[in-house]
Amino acid sequence: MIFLVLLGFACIVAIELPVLIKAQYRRELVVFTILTGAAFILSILLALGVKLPYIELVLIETFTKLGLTIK
Amino acid sequence: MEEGKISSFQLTRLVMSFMMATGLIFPPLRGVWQDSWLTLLFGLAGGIVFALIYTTLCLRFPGQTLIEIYETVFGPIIGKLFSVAFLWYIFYLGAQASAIFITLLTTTVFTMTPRYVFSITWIIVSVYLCKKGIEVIARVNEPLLLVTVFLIVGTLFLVLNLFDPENFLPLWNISLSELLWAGFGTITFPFGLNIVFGLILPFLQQREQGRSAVIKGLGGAALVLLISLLITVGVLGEVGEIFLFPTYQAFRMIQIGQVLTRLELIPTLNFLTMGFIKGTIALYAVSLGTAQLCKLLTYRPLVFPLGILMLIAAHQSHPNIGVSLEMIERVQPFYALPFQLLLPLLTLLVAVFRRLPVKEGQT
Repeated sequence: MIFLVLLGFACIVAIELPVLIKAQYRRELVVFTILTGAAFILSILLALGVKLPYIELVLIETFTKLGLTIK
Repeated sequence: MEEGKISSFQLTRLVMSFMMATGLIFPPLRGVWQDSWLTLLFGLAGGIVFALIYTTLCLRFPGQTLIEIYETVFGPIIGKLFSVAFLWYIFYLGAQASAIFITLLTTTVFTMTPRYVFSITWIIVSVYLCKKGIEVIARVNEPLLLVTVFLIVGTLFLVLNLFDPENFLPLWNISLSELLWAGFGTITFPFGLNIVFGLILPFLQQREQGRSAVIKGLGGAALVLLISLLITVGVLGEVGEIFLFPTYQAFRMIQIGQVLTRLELIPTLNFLTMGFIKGTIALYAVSLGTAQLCKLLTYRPLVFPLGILMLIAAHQSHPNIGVSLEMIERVQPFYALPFQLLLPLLTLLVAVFRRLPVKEGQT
């Protein structure tokens, strides 16, 4: 699974990076790197079996605590 | 940023697809079963009010998306904060659609197939479409919507032997408070979701027709959802409340002369097409919005990483589909209301109060 993640991200970088460097899109390159980095770290964590919180469980818990739910 | 333009008719059809997607598989029943048609109409009325607010805002600031409008009205710091929150909302809408799409496929049709097979195929096609721009998304949507509407209207004739009008009786069997709560839920999900088009309206050929195009789209979606509701409630009756995917179950019961059987693939196919369009529009809007937020020249390099983040969010969306249903029915109205109504309304009021946008010659 980790190999698949590495391969996938290598493909994305190989497709996007040369275009950005050639066009000298510096700002775009920075945002692309940040987003790809975040996606890469999260993908590796999931591939390693690390348990991340479920978004809807967090939202339900937060809104229930605030009393903002339909009964 | 985006060179493509779409016609108002194409926008209407995009709105229809976006509204119908999740509604087709999770019909807005909200515990009121035989009176759900009433809450649907209530939801449509509310959705139109929401649409009037943000389209007024878009007409006031021609050529600007909601992300740019927030910054113009509230300044760079507060405007950016509002934009980030709004982008999260759209991002999660896309993730939610793809999570439901993958769960439906893996629990009903492809029970032995790993989830990531659907995730990867979905993301590759969706990213490709987003990179091609709004024009291509609108063109792809046309045949898919046509097929979906045809299948739903056609099915109405196939269920005539199973359809029991008594399933809709007694009429008005709910209290006013129940109706209002259920209607409130239907306004925010699915009708209020049309706020996403606040990021697409500037790319309309005839900008002044944007409002009527969105309202027509909402009306069209409501009509198709009403037909879908009629089929589900008319065929299943109150027994349908026990099913996780009642529409799927209703279609499963169709049996005409031992020839037309096992038609449950119809709602799956409908959601497959409309859910795909919904996810793609959300991915496009969030990529475009992020690029505008960061003042980039193009949104295209952001599509792939944002698509993968959307898939991760879809994967981490819910541990089981029951949680997702609870989210839609109990929490979604309060979670969505600030983005669908409060933020655009506040922006409009502040813009009117500050007399924005400043016209040429004014100081």
